[in-house]
Amino acid sequence: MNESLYPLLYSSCIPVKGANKSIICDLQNQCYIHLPNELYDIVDTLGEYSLSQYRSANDLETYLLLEKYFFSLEENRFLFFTHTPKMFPKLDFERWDCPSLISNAVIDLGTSIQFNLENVIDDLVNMGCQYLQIRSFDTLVLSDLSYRLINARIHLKDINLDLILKYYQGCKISQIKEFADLFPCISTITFHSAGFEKFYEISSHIKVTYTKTVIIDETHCGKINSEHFRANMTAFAENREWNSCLNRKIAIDKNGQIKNCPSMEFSYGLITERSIREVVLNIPEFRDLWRISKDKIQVCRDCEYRYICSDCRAYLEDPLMKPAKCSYNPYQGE
Amino acid sequence: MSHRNTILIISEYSDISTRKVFDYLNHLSSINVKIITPHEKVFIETIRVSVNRKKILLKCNNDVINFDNIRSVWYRRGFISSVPFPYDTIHKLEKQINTFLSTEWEKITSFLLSISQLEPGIFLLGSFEHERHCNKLINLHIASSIGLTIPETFITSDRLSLLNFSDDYELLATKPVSNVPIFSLGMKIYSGGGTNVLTKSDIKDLPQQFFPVLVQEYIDKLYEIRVLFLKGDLYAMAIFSQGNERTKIDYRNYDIDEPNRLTPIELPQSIQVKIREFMNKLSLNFGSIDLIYSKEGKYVFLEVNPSGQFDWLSFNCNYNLEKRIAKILLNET
Ligand code: SF4
Ligand code: SF4
Repeated sequence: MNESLYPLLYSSCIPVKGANKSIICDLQNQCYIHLPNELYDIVDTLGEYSLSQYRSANDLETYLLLEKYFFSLEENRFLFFTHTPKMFPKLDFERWDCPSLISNAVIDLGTSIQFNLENVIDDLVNMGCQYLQIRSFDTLVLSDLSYRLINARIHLKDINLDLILKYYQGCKISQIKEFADLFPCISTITFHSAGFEKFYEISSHIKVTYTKTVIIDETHCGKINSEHFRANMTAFAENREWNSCLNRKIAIDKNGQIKNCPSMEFSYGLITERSIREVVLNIPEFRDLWRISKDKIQVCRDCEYRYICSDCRAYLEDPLMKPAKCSYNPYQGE
Repeated sequence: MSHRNTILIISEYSDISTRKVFDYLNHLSSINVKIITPHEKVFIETIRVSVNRKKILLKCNNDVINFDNIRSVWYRRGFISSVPFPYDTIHKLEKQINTFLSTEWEKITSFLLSISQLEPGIFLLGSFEHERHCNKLINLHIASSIGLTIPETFITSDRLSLLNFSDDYELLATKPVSNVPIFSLGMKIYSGGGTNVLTKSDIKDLPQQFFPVLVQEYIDKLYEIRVLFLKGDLYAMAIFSQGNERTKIDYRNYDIDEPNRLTPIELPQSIQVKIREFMNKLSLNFGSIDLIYSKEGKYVFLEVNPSGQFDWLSFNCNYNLEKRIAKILLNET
């Protein structure tokens, strides 16, 4: 091995240090590996020293261990050796942006209030919304939903639509197919309170799930676990500066209140009295929560998963507390 | 300037980058954006060629496009379709007439897409002319005259001269002079891939004389580099395919199991200067450039593609080029 070479991580492999443990996020392959904190500083400063510098700065035994570690990282394609480490800049996450004023939305359809869903979708599309979840805790028959959405069909084509509905007897597959034909933007339909578990795909991109889980209200949301970690470029970049759940989100709760998310207590007004567009454009406070990145949140800021984790700002006494439904303790590493 | 409230994009229907730039244009401004793809037939209402009374009016899907209102044009890729030609193609003579008419149409669209050179109020990004007439050989020649290193390149129809040429190099590569060929027969599609290795025994199997082929010295590389040149700025990405036999020749033969490592790279100033000079010489303000970094530590120029894909470069290096392009088209940089 030529000792004038510098070991260097590929730019998409990014070490993140936690209070007790560290990880290296591999944004290209969308995964991560664990790393003891003792090695973090070495991994974080890779590219600054050549192998011969490592050799002269350490006793032989330590050096050989380091070398072995570098080789194993190389074998797993996290690391390469180069003479010109300065030519490989780190990824610049300042550039993160998305072409939407609102990128995702949740609409809960309740029985206590009726409003014009089509106008809301118009507004969402005009603000660049790419993802919409429509949810119902009580029975909502597909044909009724399709009736409320039908005039927004053309607009919906640019949105990914997920439906979470209460299971009801008599909802045939043929009806689901009919619905999906009308609204090709659908990507998943989940029936909660079904009493049985079943999953199938009605076409290459539409998944239907039946689950026993009973969802009576919005409080089912907000659980944090490693299944929801997203170690990808976009999420990682966004999470450095922005809130991992609420950034560019808007919601209408089951009572027609316009909120940051249905579980938040604060309402910006009733959808029958003002438009979501008005709220986004004219109420500056509406965007305050977007700025609460993980680095600002207690505990999370010391957690190695902070840039790949989701977040939840609901059910909290203090807006800067760690999510209520996270059971991980980064100080103990478990 | 204020009356110029339209941006015209010529592209293909499914081009992801067009879609993203379009979204940014809508997000950042209230400008009108008109995308023309080969799916839309364009009807020419008026093209008036005269110095002080220039006028261009097009119709496309009931939209009127008046060039007086156009702020910028992005020739991304693809072509402009005409209204149908008047003849069917069963008869020999009519076939020839149609061929003639399509040449006529090509000249007209080519004039339309170079209008911004004649009309200083319109900014043009990309080049239809170059996309149509891009010539790898001329480009290699220009690159080397500027001082960029290029692979030793040889074209021949003669086995003996090919053998002689091959004596000087350990390994040879061959690739099309024009584009990657795609043939179809019935339902089957045949594609030749990009670059292939040519061994001595391959050459020995050739007849005495054959159709001319392009042959280059095979350069052992440490990594490949893809550069997007965007109005003077360079955005570069290194592609590490090292230790991966399948992608040793051309990264277009994607390897799904073990993806190449992609990482931003900053080219040395001297290479940046030469690439800028090269693009200026070609009068290109947009293009994607392929380089390799050889085992000997040389940056070797391979080719430029005036309408190459840059989505994966933008994404993997987090360059957000789509926003940059939108701002350039809006003239907001
Ligand atoms: S803030 Fe919590 S409850 Fe609200 S949408 Fe996000 S995860 Fe769900
Ligand atoms: S402590 Fe915070 S960042 Fe860590 S897993 Fe829990 S919620 Fe995610």
